Amino acid sequence: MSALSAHSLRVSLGGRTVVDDVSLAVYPGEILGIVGPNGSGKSTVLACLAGLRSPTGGRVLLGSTPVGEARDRATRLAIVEQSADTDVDLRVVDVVGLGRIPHRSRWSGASAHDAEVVEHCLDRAGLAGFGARRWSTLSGGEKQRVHIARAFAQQPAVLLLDEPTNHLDIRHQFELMDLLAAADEAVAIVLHDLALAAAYCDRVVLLDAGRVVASGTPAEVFTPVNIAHVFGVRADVDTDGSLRLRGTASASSL
Amino acid sequence: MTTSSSLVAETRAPRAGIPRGASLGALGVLLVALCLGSTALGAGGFTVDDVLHTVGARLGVAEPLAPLRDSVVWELRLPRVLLAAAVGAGLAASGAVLQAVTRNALADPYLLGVSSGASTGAVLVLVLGVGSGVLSLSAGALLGGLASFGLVLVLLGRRSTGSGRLVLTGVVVGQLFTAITSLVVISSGDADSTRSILYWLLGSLAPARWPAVVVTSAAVVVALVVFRSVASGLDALAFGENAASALGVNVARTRVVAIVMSAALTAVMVASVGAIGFVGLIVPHAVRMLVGSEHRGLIPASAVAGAVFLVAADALGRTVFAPQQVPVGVVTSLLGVPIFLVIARRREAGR
Repeated sequence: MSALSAHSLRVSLGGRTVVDDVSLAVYPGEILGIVGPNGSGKSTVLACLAGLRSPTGGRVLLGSTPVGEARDRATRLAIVEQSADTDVDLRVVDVVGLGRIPHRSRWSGASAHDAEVVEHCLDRAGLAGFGARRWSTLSGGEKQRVHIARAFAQQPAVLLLDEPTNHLDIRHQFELMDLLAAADEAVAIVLHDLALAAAYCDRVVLLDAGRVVASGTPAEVFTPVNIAHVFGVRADVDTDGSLRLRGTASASSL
Repeated sequence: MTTSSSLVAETRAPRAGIPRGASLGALGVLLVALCLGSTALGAGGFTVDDVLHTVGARLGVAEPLAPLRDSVVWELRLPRVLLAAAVGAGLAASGAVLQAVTRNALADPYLLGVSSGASTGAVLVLVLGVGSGVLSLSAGALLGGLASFGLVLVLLGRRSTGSGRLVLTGVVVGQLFTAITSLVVISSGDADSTRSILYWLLGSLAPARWPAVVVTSAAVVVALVVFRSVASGLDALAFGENAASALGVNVARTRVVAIVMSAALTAVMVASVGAIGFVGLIVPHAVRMLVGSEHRGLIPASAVAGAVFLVAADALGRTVFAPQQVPVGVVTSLLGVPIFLVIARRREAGR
């Protein structure tokens, strides 16, 4: 059974339909890529999946039940935003510890069990020994890993990520994707970088103008025709499935 | 992830060795000692032992002092010191909460326009003579404070979620009431009432009496319990409203509870002592260096540290230019500016 699924999602903003009849599903242990040009509705779809926005039509199921009450949802689904930053002087353990908030009552503080989970999640994210570091001293790549460790600490079945690699250099992009590839959770990730999506995603959903244009394995979705049609870019696909982009497509090559 | 940067982080970890409970305990002991010392301080040659005897006599476990000396300690000194402690605690706790809610390091309890409205209310009572005496001055201040915060809420309307809007609206309403206050003072104040208005605007503990101590302390206790109930939500707001919602926090509820409680507490405090600046701004920053940023620990620790700061500031104000008393608000500002600059510099150095 899918860990998270969307059924005929529709979102209208001021009379304009920005997401139209989008259905998708993510299964445990796989990475689902959500790709498309700017304004194709990727982030809106992700916000609906996360329960942060109510769709105008259609529904989202977490396992077999609708995405429900906020705190319960936060123990089953975790989100990593594009680049969430803060001026508050926090240590890395404080940030990862935020992931334990939905697991405890309003009046109780962090327990010994919470501390163990935080320690374990730091390990998982390759951040062992970083606990006492201050947030303001971390690099962009380290900050994203801390957010992922925080998401792990929510102990969710589903991880949602919104262009988490955007401000990272190439090595940190790969490190972050490796981390997600090793995760047992179901992962849905909005990506700008098609080559990264082709290299890491088990399946891909390609959006254009709020609609699903293609979905399936990267090899099925990232065809030169699809890419030229949706992005207006010429692409070659090598025999090993990797993607090579060759500049803008002229009208004649369409 | 370089080795050099981890080394820097280790040598700079400021609170690794001090457990939070120990910091809170040490602050508590310091507060009690300061309160006793400050009550004894000043004309009359009282000792800490005299203070303990006076309190003990009320509890029926010690012989009272001579009646005149007893009433100086019990009716004048002790209420003043305890009111300083209560107000310091309330200002610092509200400051910590509002800095989290607005995600603004410069937020303080007067941000919501409450103090300006309270000043207007008090000035109307003083100048227009609506009623007379200390009690009606407080009542006027309380009403004025609540009226200005009400206006802030009305202007915000239903879109009360944006913290930038809250800050702007608070500032605008504050300016409006400040202008009204000046207008009233200039158009109808004689020299005498202008002087007492000025004294009150600067924040003064001189008229402290037991009823104000009881009311303010009760408000502080209620506020600390309410703040405790939203502490996790305030932690979650560090990375913004979306991040907090995604952690299952009811952001709208957390914000409303925190803001309304802070405003009500501030109105009560301004009504009894006027607007005392800098306590709510700097104490939470200093305390974060001591106990970290988790609000479950930060809020109570800020309260105790705020009490310590204001009791000490008032003791200075009473003694440095004795017999002339400096209003405590002047002392906190004079101390607050350099402390604020030191904290800002340390924060800069941390990044």
